[in-house]
Amino acid sequence: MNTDYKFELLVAAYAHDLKNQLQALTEQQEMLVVDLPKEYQLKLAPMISHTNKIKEDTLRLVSLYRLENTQQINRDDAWPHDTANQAIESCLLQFPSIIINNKIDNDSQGFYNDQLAQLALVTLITNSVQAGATQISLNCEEHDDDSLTFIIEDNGPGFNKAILDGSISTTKAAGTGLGLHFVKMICKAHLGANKQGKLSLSNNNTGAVARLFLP
Amino acid sequence: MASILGGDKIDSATDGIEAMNLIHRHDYDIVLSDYNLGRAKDGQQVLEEARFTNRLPATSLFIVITGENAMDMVMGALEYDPDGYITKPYTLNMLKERLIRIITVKEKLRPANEAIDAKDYNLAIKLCLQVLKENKRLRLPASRMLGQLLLKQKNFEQALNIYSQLVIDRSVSWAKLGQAICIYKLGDPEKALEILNSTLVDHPLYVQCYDWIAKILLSLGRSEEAQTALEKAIAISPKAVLRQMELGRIAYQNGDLVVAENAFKNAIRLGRYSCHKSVKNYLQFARSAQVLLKNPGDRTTQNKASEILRAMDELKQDYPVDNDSLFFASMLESKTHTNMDNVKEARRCLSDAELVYARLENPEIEYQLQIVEAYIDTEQSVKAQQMIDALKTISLSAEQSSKLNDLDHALNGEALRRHSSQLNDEGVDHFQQGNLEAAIDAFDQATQYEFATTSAMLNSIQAKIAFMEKVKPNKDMLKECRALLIRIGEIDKNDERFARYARLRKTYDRLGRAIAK
Repeated sequence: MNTDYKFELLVAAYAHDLKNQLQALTEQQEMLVVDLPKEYQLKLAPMISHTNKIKEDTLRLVSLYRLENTQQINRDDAWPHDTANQAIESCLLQFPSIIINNKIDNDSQGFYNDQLAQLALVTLITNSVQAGATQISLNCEEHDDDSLTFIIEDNGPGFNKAILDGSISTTKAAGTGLGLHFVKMICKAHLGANKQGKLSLSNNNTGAVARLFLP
Repeated sequence: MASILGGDKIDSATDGIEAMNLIHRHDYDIVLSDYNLGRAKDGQQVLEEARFTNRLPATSLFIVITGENAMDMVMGALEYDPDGYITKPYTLNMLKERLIRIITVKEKLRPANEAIDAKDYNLAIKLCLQVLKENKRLRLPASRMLGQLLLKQKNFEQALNIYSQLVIDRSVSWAKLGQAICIYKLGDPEKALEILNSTLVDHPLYVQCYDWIAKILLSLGRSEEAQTALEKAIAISPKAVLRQMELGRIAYQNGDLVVAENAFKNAIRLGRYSCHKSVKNYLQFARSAQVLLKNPGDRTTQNKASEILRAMDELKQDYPVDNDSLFFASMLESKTHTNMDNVKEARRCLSDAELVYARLENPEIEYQLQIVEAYIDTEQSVKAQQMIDALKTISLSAEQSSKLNDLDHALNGEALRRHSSQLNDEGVDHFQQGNLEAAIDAFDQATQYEFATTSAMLNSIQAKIAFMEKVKPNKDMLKECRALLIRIGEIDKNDERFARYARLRKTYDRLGRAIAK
């Protein structure tokens, strides 16, 4: 085992521990909020939001490590309606004023890594909100070969032409474009029936459209 | 959380042992268990024990809460697979949604699970096939259940079809394992190994693959490689009692006693509160560890000896009516004391073993061979010789005969002669003091070896004759004298012992005539 590998493992172990600690902290905060008077609940909301943001980022960090170091991700039966709900729940802690509609059929079913798909949706919703969208809808198309596509539509300004061309990754002043890269990584990690997952970006007449194909 | 979701009669446990205690005492519809439960057991072991002991019927739910790092182990379990899992971190709503999904799937498979609980496996297979035909969305859970049932019914061809199709369509890890098992059972171990190794490339923490690799390698006679595979599995998942036992068994067979000793020690520790607790672990631990007691003066060796003796104490307390095990425990205690140069304690433990041995109804020959060995170890040559002689009169297998011969040779002839001589001296002392009965006893012991000297035999005859002259002639004693005279044979007239021999022979004849009247 070389030193770099040890270093990587160490970082991954700390990130994993951090993620669990943050989850515990979130749970404690949520329990605390329930017992407090309304005015204090409102004051505590930003704290919960920040904790959630750090937790999500840490989860991304852990997932990135796994995506880089795992030959094949674990996939299983999963329900897009639930995956979307979980992503929405997380995003609403962050952006409580945004309207997010889960239009996915409750009976839709797929075969994918639920946690990674949820992270991809959270990332895409966050991008939409940061681009100025106030309403987002989540949909899902099931295909005959048991693959499926998540569709995220918003009422924002739409993707910049350069992003659609692939010549740049972000239009945000402080943006790095890593969010979209992360989502692409998640899609590509989904392999099945000689197909690979992919992220497609487009604009429609109301805003931006992101399509996550998971074979 | 569970009560917020509407559950009632909820019990909670802080570790795997407490969880198992609750499961043994109560019937549960749902068990929600973290994978990581602290030192003694993990969630997978709780599940295995709950199902193995029939405390959790197939219709009840067992759900594992896990982080991504244990997913390979949780998702890959083929024989005792959870009904579902929830990945951390999760919120209350996520838990609720996931539980609803798992319960819904379980309800749809209820008829098949009821058939499993009724042990009607053929009906369960039929019902699974029906579900597969009618409900495409249940393909994974129904196929998983069907595969297990077909393996149980040894229908490997059909199971292979199910798993192979899934590997093509879904590439799920448990289907690859199932496929490998079927291929192995159908007679192609090399191909099975290939699949298992390739599955491990994708899922390096999939311990069940290592278990099967070890099993297959062992069947191919590649026991050292099998040991390596199991050591890898244990490095990933060290809490499974059966896996530790298997490693111990293979390492012992390979002569790797350091690994064997450690594996059996872990099996004892992990098995203490488990349905897999076994007396074999205690005995095998002691057998492996006592061989390592090379240097009695060394602190590490002394600690090891104490560990063995503590394990044997625990065995005796926990299995007080299992005479076979009590016998072996005392024998191993004796061996341990022997190795620690404590002959007195070794003899005491051996004496305990003899008492237990006397209570055994049909002890195997092997037990006697072990006792002989212990007699030799504890310098009880007489007893060893007696038992060897007794064993020589009964029918033994080739292996047993060979072992007996080895023991016979091990029994040092010189030591026997020395001992015989000591007994002879004791007899002479008793004779000189006029204590004829004690003298006869001592001479009897001295003359029972084939190495007994002519002088000792003459002494024995003299003591018996003196006794008969003093009390009265005794037919049995005369017979014994005759046997000794035959053993002595003719003594040359020039031999210094001839006069004595002739005199004793004359008296013997006279007593014989007297008794004939």
